[in-house]
Amino acid sequence: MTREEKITRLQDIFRDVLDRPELRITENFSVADCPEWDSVATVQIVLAVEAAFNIRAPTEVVANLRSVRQLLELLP
Amino acid sequence: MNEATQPDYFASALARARTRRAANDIPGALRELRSGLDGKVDYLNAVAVASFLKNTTQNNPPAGWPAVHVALIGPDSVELLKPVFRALAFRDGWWPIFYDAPYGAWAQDILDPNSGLRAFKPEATFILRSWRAAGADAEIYLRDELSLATHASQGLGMVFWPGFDLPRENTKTFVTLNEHLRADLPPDITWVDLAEAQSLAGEDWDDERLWQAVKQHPSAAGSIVLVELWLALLRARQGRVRKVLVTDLDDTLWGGTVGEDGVDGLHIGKNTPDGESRTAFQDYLISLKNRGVLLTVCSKNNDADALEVFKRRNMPLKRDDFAAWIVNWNDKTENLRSLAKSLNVSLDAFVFVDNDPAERARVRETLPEVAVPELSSHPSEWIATLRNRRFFDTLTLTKEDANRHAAYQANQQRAAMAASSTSLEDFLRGLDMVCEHGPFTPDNFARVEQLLSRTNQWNLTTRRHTRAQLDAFRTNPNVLTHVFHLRDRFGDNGLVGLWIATQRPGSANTASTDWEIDSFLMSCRVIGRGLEQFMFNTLVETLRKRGAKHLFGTYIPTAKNTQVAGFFPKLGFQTTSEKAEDKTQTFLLTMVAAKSQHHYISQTAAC
Repeated sequence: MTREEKITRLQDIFRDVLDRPELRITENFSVADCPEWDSVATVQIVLAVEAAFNIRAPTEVVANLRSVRQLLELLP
Repeated sequence: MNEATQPDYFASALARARTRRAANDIPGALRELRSGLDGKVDYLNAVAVASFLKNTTQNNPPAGWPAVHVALIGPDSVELLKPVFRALAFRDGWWPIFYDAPYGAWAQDILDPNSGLRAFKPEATFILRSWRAAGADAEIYLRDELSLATHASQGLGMVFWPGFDLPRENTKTFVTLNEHLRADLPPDITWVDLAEAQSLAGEDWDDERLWQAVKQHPSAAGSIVLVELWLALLRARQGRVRKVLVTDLDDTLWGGTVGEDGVDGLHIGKNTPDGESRTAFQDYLISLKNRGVLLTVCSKNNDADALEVFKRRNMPLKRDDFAAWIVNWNDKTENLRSLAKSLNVSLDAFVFVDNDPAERARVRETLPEVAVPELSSHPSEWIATLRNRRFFDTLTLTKEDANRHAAYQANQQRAAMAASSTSLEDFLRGLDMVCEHGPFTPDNFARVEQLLSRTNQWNLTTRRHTRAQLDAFRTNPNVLTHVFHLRDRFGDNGLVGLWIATQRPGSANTASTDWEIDSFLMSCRVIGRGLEQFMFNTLVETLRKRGAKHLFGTYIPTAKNTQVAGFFPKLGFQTTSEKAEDKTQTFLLTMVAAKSQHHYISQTAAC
């Protein structure tokens, strides 16, 4: 999977979790760009990424995910 | 089956909901979204629904939806549970307004009469805490928690208190702890068997990482199981338990189509894997019937063909297991309406089971009050699908539950007799009805509580008294109670009616001669037999012995009890007032004017 494809899949996840069907993300997208991205959404995004990519994120990321770049580092 | 051949049921419902929303059709969007929750729902589906609702309705209940104040509290975080609760309550047709609990302050919230929780006035309060809360000295913990529970039993609406889920080690201590907790909880509090939810979720119940990261327990998967349990207990407390299961025949109860494959070509029984799974499903339906669920058939078929299958094939289910049966080629939603009418049970107590996605979609669209679980193409999964939804979970199982099916069948014999009788009097006289009656006792408490919580139609006040209130009534000399047990030539109807009368407060030296009817209700299975006349006569006789001079009756209208609106005037009561706000009506009867009502019931000794 290319980096572009990964970002597209992550974008789908953000759209579902936050209910923002038109949302566009880049690898620079972060908490600061999105008022709905609160502490609850953080956990939900991580859980959704884990399910979609069949991976398991470290505890630190579950609590403190801040950016799409952090997610990309987790992906195989 | 891979994703390419079976598109994700939830994802396609969500996509349709978004399309409708984009076209500004909000009711249509919500309907599509809700249908998506009829399939298997995972945590992320629930999150998507909760976010959709938040953005679509700005967190306001959709027009016409009941909103209920709900508090989720406990020592740990409950924020990740709220989307699950929001989504599944939406599926159930109501809208929680959540209490925003300050983290870690649940005990103060319960104990302090001026707390935010008390000011919020919850109608339902759900407590969540895991075994971790008990700490090293479980006994001291339990004592403190029981004291909290006692405070929580007042002023927090319906309270749902958890047993402990079980840690992998030291399990026995917690099993014992649960026994003590359950035995000592105040009777008005509903016990939540967290250990049962845990065992249903299996290994998935725990997520140590979520606990360490955000103090969330149970896991995302476990929270679905937990909320399903909570909502089932809430439905049971509110008297909204489903009562009727409607099943299709072809490709549902058996594999194949009788019209095409013939009676002998159908898959049922142990000879084929498909037949085996159908047999297991039929066995499950029989277990539901034994718990008091009414089984009914609604099938597009030739009636004679369908009957032939039950005659010639050896199956667990027999024709007699069904309390009602409609086999024809008419539209199924019309047939469901007929079934509701013939059973005298409203459609919001129905569960519709059909292998055909088009039939399911049509029923969902036309009759949104009917529950329509989405069935996979694998019949072997259907039992779990129905079990996970907990449609038929009740708080207690009584003798009447087990006998309900026989009672409904007897009703059909009565209907046949009514049809052949020359007049109503002729029919009622021919029934040879006998009634035992007497005050509430500990022996009939479970059934009394159930009648109060479930009876919606023939019920003048629809007051849902709890066990503790009933206990208080029984020992209070200013309250009179009575239950009625009706039998006739076709069988035993069980305990099917009750009234509660309360004496108004008197002056210092004299007792009041004014009495009020707190509750007066009858199970819908005996409507039309004149039992209410008999019950009224016992009320008058009992009150005369107590020196009553005035009797006040109240009618509290609901969506379901319009048939009793004229009850008091018919008995000679005068209207005293009508409150504008909730349409409650009060009536008065002077006891000297009370007339003995005519009926066809003979009485026997007190029950």
